[in-house]
Parts: sequence; structure tokens; C-alpha cells
Amino acid sequence: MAGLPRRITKETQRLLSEPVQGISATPDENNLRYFHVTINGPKDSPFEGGVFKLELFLPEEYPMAAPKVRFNTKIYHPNIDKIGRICLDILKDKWSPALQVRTVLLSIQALLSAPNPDDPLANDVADNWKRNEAAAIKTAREWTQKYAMSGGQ
Amino acid sequence: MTQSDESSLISLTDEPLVVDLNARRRRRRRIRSTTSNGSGDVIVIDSPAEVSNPVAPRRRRRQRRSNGDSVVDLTCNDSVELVDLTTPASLIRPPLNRTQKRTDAAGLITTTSAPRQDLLSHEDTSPILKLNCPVCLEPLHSVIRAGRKICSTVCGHIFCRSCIKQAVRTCKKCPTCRKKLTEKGFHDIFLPIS
Repeated sequence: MAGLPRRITKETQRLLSEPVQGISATPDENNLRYFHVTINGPKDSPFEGGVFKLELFLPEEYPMAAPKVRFNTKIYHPNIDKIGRICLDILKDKWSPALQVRTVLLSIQALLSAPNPDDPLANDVADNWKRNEAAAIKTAREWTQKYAMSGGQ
Repeated sequence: MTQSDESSLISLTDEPLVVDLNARRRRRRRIRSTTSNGSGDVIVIDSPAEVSNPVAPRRRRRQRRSNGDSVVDLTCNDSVELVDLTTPASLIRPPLNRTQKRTDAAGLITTTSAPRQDLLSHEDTSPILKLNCPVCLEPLHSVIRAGRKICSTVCGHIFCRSCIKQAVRTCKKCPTCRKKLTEKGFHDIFLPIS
């Protein structure tokens, strides 16, 4: 692989020296384009108290192409499917090379605070969310407890 | 170095803002006299009725152009200088009074005649050059030092040339505001530093 672009080095350094609150991103020691990420469930959301693991990969074309991000921790969220894929515009058509790993992770954190069942990825979850929001939130809280707390899978 | 060399260095390098301000002030003075020659009422210039006023066409054009610059010019004499100073100059340094400006200009003669390396390190302190290209994240002063060009898009966003070129080619949008752009949607800019 060609040398790591300066931009990735810069981003990595800043992520480590000035981490975003509630987010950690550590590059893999064998592949500096691959990051181990954790996002704390935002306060006042059904994910509060959970620590969600994600993986983030910067493709060869980065920053002209978006990073690839996936949840490794199971989560009950209308915009995140069973295998952890995320429905977020900036990861697809709204990507811009002026965005960074930091801003992407902040957007994902915000998505946890504001689920959007009208643009679903997990249809069953979204249906539930629209039909009976209270029940959906309860399930999300249970999943958080089961999978995202104290070393859950 | 001759006298004229020195003065051209000042205007081309570090003090274009001050030079520009003086020019504006002169223009403004001219405008003030033309308006008092005409109706005597300064505010009339803004009204559409002025268009049909039989003022000499060249003068009118000049008046309208400076109306676009700043409306405050014509209504309040005291604030005129403050308005002009705060818009462009506050980006570089806080507003100065006239005496300070002269000292400053004198000081800058020394900096401009110093070697290029010194000039650049002096410029490093300028807030504009400390900004980064949003794509490669390099500070603009190192982009310039590396001999690369800085560009502005038509929507007014700044990048180094290689980055905006590649971004427009791949995304066809401004990376900052997502405005649709073609290869003609950006151009070099020339900062007054070298």
C-alpha cells in the first residue's frame, strides 16, 4: 500500500489528542486506515449508558470518497440494520471531502439522539417506531442494556 | 534600493489594505463634494428619483458604485472611517489610528526588504494564512511555501488548487457548501504577500 496520506495522519493525531466527547477512535496497529471506534449512547436517548462499538475504514480514495462505517454492537435503531449498516446521507450521496472522521462520528452520535423512522434502513424497526414509539424506545433501551453495557456483544 | 522601489514594495506586499483605504477615503471626499454641489441633501442619492437627476453621467456612475460599497458613507461622516476599517482590516489587525498606521508602514518597509524566509515567517502570524485547506488540512502558508496555488470557488470557498481540482472532478460540487461546480467554477487567488 502507498504511504499514508498526510491528511489521515493529521486527522488521527487530532482524534487522539483532542478526542470528541463520548467518542473514541483508535487506528488499528496493522492498518492505519482502519479505526476501532466507540460511541457512548447520548444522554436522554434510549441508548444512554451504552457503549457502542463501530468499525471505520478509510478507502483508498478518501477523502474523495466517504469512510465506510458499521456498527459492531447490536442496536435497535430505525436507521441501522441487523448487520450494523448505517443509513446516513453523508456516508452516501451527501459525502464531501471537507468532512472528516470526526464529523462523521459526530453525525452518527447525533443519529442516535434523533432516529429518523421516515428514512428507514431496518424496516421492521422503523414500522415499530412509527406505530408505537413508546414500545420501540423500550425495546431500544433493552437492547442497549443487553448488548451495549458491561462488555455485552 | 531606490525610493520608488520601496514604495512599490509597500503597496504590493504588506500594506494594500491601508493603501486601499486611503484611496477609498479620497473617493469618498470627492463624492461628498459632488453631492453638496448638487441637491445638498445627501440622502437623495439613494432614492430612485436621483436616477432622473441631470447629473453628469460619469459622476453618477461613480456615486452609485460607492453606494454599493457602503451606504453609511453618505449619512454619517464620523462613522465613515470606522466602517471601512472594520470590514477588511479587522481580519489582519485591530483598527489603528492614523499615526499608528504611519509607524506601521514604516516598520513594514524593513520587513519587506528582509529575505523571503523572514517575510514568510512574518506572514505566518496572519490569521488568514493560518487557516487550513478544508480538504488536505494543510495550513495555507505551507501551501504557498511549497509553491502551490490557492483557489477560490465561485461560491467563495478557499482551497489549495490541487484539492479543489480533484474534488470538482470527482464530486462536481463545492466541498464546503455543495454548490454544483464545473472546472470553471474556481480560480486562483493572489494573496498580497509575495
